[in-house]
Amino acid sequence: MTSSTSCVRPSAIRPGDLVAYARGEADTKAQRHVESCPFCRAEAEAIAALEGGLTRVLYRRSCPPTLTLAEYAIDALPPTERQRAAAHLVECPLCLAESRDAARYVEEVDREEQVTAFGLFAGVRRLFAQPWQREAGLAGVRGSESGESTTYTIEDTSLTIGVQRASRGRGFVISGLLQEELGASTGSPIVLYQAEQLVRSEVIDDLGSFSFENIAAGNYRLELVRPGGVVVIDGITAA
Amino acid sequence: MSSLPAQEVCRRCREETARYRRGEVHDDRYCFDTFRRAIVDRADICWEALLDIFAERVEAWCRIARKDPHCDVEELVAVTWQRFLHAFTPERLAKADGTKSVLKYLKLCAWSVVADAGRAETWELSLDREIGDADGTPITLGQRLADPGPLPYETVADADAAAELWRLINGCLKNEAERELMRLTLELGLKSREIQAQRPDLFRTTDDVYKMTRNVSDRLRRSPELRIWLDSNRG
Repeated sequence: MTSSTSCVRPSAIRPGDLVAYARGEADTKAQRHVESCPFCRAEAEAIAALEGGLTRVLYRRSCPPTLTLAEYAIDALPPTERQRAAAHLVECPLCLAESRDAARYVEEVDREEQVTAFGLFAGVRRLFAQPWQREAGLAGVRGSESGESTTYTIEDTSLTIGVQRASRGRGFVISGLLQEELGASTGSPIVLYQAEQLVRSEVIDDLGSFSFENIAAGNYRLELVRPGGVVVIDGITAA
Repeated sequence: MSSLPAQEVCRRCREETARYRRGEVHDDRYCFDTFRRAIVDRADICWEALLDIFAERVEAWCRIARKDPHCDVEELVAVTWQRFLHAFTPERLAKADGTKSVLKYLKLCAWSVVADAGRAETWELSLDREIGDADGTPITLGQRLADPGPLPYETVADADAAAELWRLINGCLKNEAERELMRLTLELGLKSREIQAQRPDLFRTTDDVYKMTRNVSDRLRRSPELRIWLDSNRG
């Protein structure tokens, strides 16, 4: 580093510019000046090195361990620890974001558990839906414009499933519509399997419909939760 | 149950888990007892069985936490089990009401391990930033710090060292705004605009953040005590 005792052009730089440069946040004008002025460059480097050296020791130092944040997210901390964690979250946006992420994760894992045979479905009755009617087109099903649809009966309701080639991109779209009271299944998981592999899980929307996009050609099985058990729709072919 | 040999309990745990996976009626007691023997009795055979039986699940949890279904999670899985072994004490087990609640804690361990990896990556990324040059060759913050270390909050620089450093820094600060600025900068590593967004009551614009940082930085650099501390704790 070539050093100098003063700035080559003080009018070209504002008091905060060196900090901005040291943090990689400087605008083009300040950046040009610092890069052409040995004094300012040395100053910016010193500021960055100081911040880096201090951060190295202090970074996330007062933040609770991530496991504590996870326990906080599921309300599993004893009251005193919970209060301490809550007080920290008020002033730490990073921990707050992590704690929210933990809550989302638990929700997602629980949903996945619901939809894989390993999880909460253990011991739940499996109902095999019977094909009832096949027809061309699929009115009312999300994303459906062409192709063939099949309607399955599931005890007192029916489910219409259509498989179409994707209009954009590759693969197929498997979409469906539950004929039931509006909103009765909103948010219920519906899962697409290929052999024993979980391909993707979606949720049923407030109109009773769902859609799996960009699905490769192959044979699939759908499973969805109903009050009486898990409904299995086998033999869905995307080809 | 306690009279059964460990191998038999593990075998039944595996069988019952397979039933569970197939959606059949299953008996939870064998898996819970396998966990009990692993945690309370420290029975290696039970640990090994659990690592194997729940391997696929823990991998899946790590991938979900990582938000990447295809990432390599081998190391994360290993650390998840280590953390679980350390944190899930016999006292915790005594409060658990079945395998499901034990597995729930294991899930939290998986998330926390991935979250720690995220914290470490944020720090490592900051080390890649160019901060100057040496004879025309750009140098990064990581190169400038003699030995940046992998994880600042997990390094040997323990809580006492951090407290001592804060004492020295505080000695150079004039008011609460400066203390808050340093906390947000050094402890949280926030960017200037994030600091302003976090405390608009203290910093009306990002420029205010820059100006105050410059003043504080000048004072810190002039502090002989801080210089001595930094020199003696470098690397």
